Amino acid sequence: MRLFGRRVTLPALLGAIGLLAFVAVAVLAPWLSPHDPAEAHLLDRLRPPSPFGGEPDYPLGTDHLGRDMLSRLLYGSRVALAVGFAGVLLAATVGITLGLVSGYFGGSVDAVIMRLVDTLISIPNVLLYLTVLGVFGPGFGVLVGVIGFVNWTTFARVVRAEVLSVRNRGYVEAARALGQRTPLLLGRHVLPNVVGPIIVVATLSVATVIILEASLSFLGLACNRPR
Amino acid sequence: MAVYVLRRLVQMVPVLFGITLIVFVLLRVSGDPVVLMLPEDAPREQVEALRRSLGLDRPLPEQYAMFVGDLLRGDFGRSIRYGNQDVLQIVLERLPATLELAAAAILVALLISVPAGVIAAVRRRRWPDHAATTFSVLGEAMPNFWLGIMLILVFAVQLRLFPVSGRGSVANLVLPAITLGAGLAAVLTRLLRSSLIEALNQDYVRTAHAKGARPRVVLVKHAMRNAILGYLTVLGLQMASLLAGSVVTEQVFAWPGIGLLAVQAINSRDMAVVQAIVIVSSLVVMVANLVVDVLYAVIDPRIQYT
Repeated sequence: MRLFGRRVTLPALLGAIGLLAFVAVAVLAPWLSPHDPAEAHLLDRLRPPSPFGGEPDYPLGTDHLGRDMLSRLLYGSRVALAVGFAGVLLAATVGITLGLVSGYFGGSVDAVIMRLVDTLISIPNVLLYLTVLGVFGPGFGVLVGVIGFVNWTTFARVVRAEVLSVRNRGYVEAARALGQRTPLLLGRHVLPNVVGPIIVVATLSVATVIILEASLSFLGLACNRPR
Repeated sequence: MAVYVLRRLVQMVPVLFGITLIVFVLLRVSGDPVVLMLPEDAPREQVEALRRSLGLDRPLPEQYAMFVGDLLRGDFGRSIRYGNQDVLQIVLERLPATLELAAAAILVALLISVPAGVIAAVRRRRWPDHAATTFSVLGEAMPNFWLGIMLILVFAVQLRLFPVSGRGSVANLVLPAITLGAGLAAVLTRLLRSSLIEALNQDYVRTAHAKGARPRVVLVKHAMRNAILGYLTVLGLQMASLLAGSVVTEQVFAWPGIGLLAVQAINSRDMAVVQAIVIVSSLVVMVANLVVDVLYAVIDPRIQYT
């Protein structure tokens, strides 16, 4: 199948449609929701979803405070997407920087950063999240921060491995010979050549982070519920 | 081999220090423990005295040294919730339940992923392959608390086949093990499929077929043995996420392991318990990874450790 001049496979197309629908729901939540997600209808508490004997007014029923579940679900997708993207963006920024430094300079800098990576991946991640969220209390900023703090390790490892294979290529040595300053060299010559794997890791990370956010919400520690 | 194991054990030391450092920093940031331990109207002198007796008036590096010293002596502190009990003892009492659940989950993952991965690889691009791939995508996309709740709803509440929660008989173990093992099974199925397909395309497989070995023998003796290494690596790497997932699973099924304990401890700000759980479970992960690395040599005679 061809779309906009590019070859597209069916699974990729279905995935893109699903993702677009999800983003659309998040963006359009205020217009799609039948109710205010935070508004309590105390007379309509714990209604079942309408196919199971509830009222058509609350398609997915209501919670213990009489808040419409469908509206809460629609608004919740905003939190999931925001946490997913912001968390991965932070993790990628930290991980790419440390991975570049680690792979390019090697030696003791590399050793320290890689031991730090080993340390962080030895701790079961949910426990680390629990501890940090327990210490700082739940909230959007804390959640994004801790996701960045824990998930940069994958980026750092991937980038480091790629940098190791790129650092002695001709064009990098040429740039070095021309006297290009190191930050510029890393940013302009090394980074663009390691970007492929980064995109793969980032894509998968957004998905895992969204599931993780859901798990932490289930444990009551992710974001404050909309009141 | 013994030298290798020893070296790996030595390598674990800096990582363990790193973990204690992270735990230490987090807990110091968490605020003054004295405030939690004394009533609000406690006189200043009393607060100061308690701070001094706990060593909280010393400089931070010295506090960290004291902290590590205590850990080395097996003193992980006292719980503020469980009647001043020794924290390490509380955690070690709960650890077997978590390990039991993790082992059962690994068993579930093996029972699903080995047949599913093999069938998918052998019947490549036919319906069994598509079924296995679909299952593995679903398994990875499903949050395990949701799966757990659905399993309870169907098999415990509606069909009454298994108990809803708790630990005890083997029947209690079934639903939590499936819940925790499903994600792992999905990852492993995908992995076994791809590495088996790769192995089946190798020259030695063609040679084995050519010399007239039975297809079954080729699959098991020639392809499987080579495909299983990557499988084992990932199984080892997944130990950390298995323990992480067990925090959620234990919560769903009220399974009395360290995951449930961790959530309870966080909610009651019992930080000594939290830090002990973080350290103990990280140790479990590291030991599991070491065991996997040693297993390599057992399975693959080409790998030798010196």
